[in-house]
Amino acid sequence: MTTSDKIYDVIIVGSGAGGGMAAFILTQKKLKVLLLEAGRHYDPETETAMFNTPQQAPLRGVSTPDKNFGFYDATVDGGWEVPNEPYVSAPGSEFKWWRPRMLGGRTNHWGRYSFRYGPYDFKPYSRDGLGVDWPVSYDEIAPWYDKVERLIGVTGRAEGLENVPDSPPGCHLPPPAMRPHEAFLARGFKAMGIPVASTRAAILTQPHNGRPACLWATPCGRGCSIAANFQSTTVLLPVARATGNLVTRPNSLVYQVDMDKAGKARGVSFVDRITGEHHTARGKAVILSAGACESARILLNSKTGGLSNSSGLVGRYLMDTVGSTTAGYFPALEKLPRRNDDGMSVGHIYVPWWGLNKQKELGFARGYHIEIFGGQRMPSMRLMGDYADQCATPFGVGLRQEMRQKYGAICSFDGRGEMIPNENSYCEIDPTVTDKWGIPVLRFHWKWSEHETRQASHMRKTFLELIDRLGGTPFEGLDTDGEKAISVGGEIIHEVGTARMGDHRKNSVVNSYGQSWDVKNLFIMDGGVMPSSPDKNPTETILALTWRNATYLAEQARAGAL
Amino acid sequence: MSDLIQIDRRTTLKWLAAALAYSAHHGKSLAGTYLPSAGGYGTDPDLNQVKPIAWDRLMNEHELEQTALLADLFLPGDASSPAPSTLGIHDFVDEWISAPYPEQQSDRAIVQGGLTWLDQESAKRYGQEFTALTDAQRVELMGVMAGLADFIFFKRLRTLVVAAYFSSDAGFKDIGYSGNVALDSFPAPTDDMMAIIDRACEALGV
Repeated sequence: MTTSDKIYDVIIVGSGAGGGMAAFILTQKKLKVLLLEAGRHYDPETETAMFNTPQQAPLRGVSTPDKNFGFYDATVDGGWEVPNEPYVSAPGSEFKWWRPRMLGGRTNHWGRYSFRYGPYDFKPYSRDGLGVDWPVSYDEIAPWYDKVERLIGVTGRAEGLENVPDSPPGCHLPPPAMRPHEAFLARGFKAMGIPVASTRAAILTQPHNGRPACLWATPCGRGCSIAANFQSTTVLLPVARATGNLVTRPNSLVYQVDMDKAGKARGVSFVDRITGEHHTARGKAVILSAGACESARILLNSKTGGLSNSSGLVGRYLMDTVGSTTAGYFPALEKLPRRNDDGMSVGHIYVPWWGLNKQKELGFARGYHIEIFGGQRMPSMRLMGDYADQCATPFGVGLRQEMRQKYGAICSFDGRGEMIPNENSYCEIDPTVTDKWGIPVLRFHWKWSEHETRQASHMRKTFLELIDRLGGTPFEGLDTDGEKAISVGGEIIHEVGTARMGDHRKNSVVNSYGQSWDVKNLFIMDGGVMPSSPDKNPTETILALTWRNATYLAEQARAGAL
Repeated sequence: MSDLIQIDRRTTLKWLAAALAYSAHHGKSLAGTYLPSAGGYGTDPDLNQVKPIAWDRLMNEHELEQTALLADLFLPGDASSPAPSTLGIHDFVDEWISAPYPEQQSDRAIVQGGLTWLDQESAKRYGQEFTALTDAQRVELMGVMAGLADFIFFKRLRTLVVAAYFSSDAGFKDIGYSGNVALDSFPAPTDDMMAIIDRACEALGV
């Protein structure tokens, strides 16, 4: 084990949305920061295969156990399983945990849908008596959302919808035009009384802060070599690096927060993923931004019973987004002429939750939004296989003709919904299993409640009704039994809640600034601090909270209060 | 300071023991355990300089010939569209079924089993193996296979051939995919396109 003598102002564990933003803020405030990343160094500018076609990849780039989201997905050394770093699901539970091992973490491949939570999302308990309220309100966080949107660039338009906050003028970038199939689907939703909104995505529709606009091609999941979407590695870390106040150490798997005799954090211990050597680093403050589950693991491994765990809540109330998908085939779209439909990799429209005032009759407490895919998208093995299945002609000239006729007429719908925190969904340290370096691993417990399964059922019924109204035929995701329609826990990759914030040390792990109640120079800055899991994808909120909380940390450090 | 060093030694021993325990359970089927596929491209392949496929090809010449013939029967070429065999779709099917991954391994049994069946059925019906049949006999046999309920070989090979064909660069052209090029701006649908949508929606009553 080697120990460095250098004492940093702040040690940040993880370089994704939380860690990247913390580094961005703190280095600009002239604090000396050590950023420890478990994965390897990663450079989107040189490593992203933006325009490569499926033909250039093994197996046309399909998903494999080595690259779970396909060959070109940005994820390095990870996915549902990470070499040498297992995890366990408890008997009767199923949970999937997506981890990359790369600088910038999951921001390199994330979906880029970028939403602010709404006023109700911060006070869910007050509204329906379930879960808990956040110790902060929308109005308190709104200025930080403004800053984030102005920095990273987020599309959107004022929609005037309840609990879907519009940004102040000058915040949002103009949204892109609807694609033809989206205009068609919007008509169907309208007929069902469901309003459709312009997309909100962290993708540049015009040059922004020195970054060029999207070139309307190539999937964002591969990452963006021109920095036209948000990645920690293209938007945050270069700025932090340029201050001269950032030291980044890749391949550093942090497993423990080290404490001094006065009960303050004095640094962290980590293992070098390549050499297997153990090291320690010293800092006046420590931020865990390793992702909700990994940060919980570090706390639980730091001390018997868990560090910063006087509330007993570390690892508890783990949440993920509720997911369900249906795909359909729409003959009406066959009539459209050929055009370049690439645009953004996200839908140019989406459907915010429309049932806020119907929750009692719906039988589930919270809502979901709908993400839409379709049009004349880049053919892949999977997509063309779906089209082949839609063709009645078994073989011959007619099959080719039918493929040409049908291409562009498949659309799919992803419901993304809120999960209410429950006692049965949590992670803890497995008593026997360790990773390659001997560090105890996480064991996951998972159970959806009826609020979620009924919601998944409602998603499917909504999609099936829409497809029916538009003369289409559904071919995937037909089962409306909520238990079968719902995603596996973790599958939507929005884990939050394992170190919830609150207004009292008894009911939470951290205060509203992500500061540990038990260890005042220890902070959590990732999805772990979220006391609830609104349907709106969490990344923008992680960025906004971290901007605010890192600013607070810097003030406290300057005042000598840590 | 001496305290610290002692703790470090103890800690190191603890990790060593635990790492040995890891070796003991590693390889057992735990949820969330990555098990490398021998010959796979691994979890961090170079995406820009794609290396040649690492796994051995399993099809023999005869199977490749059969597959090329079948591929061209699924999607016959003509003056404006290349036949699958000229694009090497049969080689792709070989790459696919030879891959060390579970989905592909499941297809391996289906495809190679089906190719063996194909020769047996050809011999039974026409007294010759599939590659020696006339075009008309092959088309007839395709019709027979298409008519068999739940004949997984035909269904799966059809999907593989059609999907591989249209997800190739030549297939992009054939189906009219015109994206994957940098644009200055994203064009809204033309008035003509919107009129088509309007008419479709009116007909559907939405």
